[in-house]
Amino acid sequence: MASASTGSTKQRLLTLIEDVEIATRELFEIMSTPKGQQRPGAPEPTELIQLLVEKDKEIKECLQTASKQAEIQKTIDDLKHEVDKRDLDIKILQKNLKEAENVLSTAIFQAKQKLEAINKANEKRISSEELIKFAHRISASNAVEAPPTWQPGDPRRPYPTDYEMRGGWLAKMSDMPNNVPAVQSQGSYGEPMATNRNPGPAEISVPPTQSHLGSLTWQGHGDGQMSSMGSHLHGNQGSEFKGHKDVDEVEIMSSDSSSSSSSDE
Amino acid sequence: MANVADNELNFLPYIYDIIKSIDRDSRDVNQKIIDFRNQLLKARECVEKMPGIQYSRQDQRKQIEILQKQLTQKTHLIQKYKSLQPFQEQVETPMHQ
Repeated sequence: MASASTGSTKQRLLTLIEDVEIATRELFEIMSTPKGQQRPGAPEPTELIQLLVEKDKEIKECLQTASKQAEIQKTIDDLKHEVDKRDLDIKILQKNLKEAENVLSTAIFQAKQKLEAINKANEKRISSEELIKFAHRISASNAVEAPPTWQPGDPRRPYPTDYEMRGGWLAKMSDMPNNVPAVQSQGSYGEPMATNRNPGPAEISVPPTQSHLGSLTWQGHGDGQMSSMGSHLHGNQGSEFKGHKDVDEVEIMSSDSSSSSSSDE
Repeated sequence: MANVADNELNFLPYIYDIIKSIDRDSRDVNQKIIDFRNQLLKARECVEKMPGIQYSRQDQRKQIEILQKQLTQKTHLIQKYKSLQPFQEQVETPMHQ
């Protein structure tokens, strides 16, 4: 603030002390010099003493002012302390508000997500009966869990059959041009077990590098198996599948089955 | 502090003593003058340490006004935030339970 202000009591006191020092030096010099040797125009000792008494009076007044100022300063310090406390309170409050803001924004974000999910669910309603029916169909095919009496060679397989794989989304995705070879390899992927059981003559004669033959192989011996599976899983669709031996038709079948499953949704 | 300052800045007894010594032509005048100079130094140190005198009274009054204004504003601000509705509900809820 105005620490160096000209009117400060400190400055006045220091000036008064300096005045006293100068006056006393002069006084002692005059008094210690014999009267004949004194320089002309030198002040009388009484004048200097009078000046010193006046300065002492001023110092006393200044000290009284300083005493009052010390009290005021104490009030100022107390006020500063209180202001600092309020600042601290405000900082703590600000910190708490910030934390609350974070918590609330997270909660709002999660709530919005839940609302979106609820709206989505409301848009695509599905009856519980249909859901249970579908669950029954899944579990009836033993695709979720192997039956307790399962043995090697048992057609009730605890994994999706080729037919089911072709009916699913993966097969649909593989219909895209980039993924065609992958699908075909997938078609022959499920075969080893069937091959072991019933190796067909077409498989032996045809080189495996030809990708389109993988699907032919699947068609060759998977026919009976698929028909049994199809009848087991999809009833009429399985019998439909029996008559077709072309790859294209298999793809049509897979789209049929997917459409039936999508209709379940 | 005021009493200490009164003692430290009371120069007249020292001056009177030195004048008497000069009148008597005493040998210890020089020593007394040195003591007096030391006293002046002490007085200056004492003035440096006195609280609040670096400001004028007018400046101090201004400072008090500013601080009181700040204190009022900050107290109001805290009260305002504490009396916000969500906080009030939070304070009241445990009491209802």
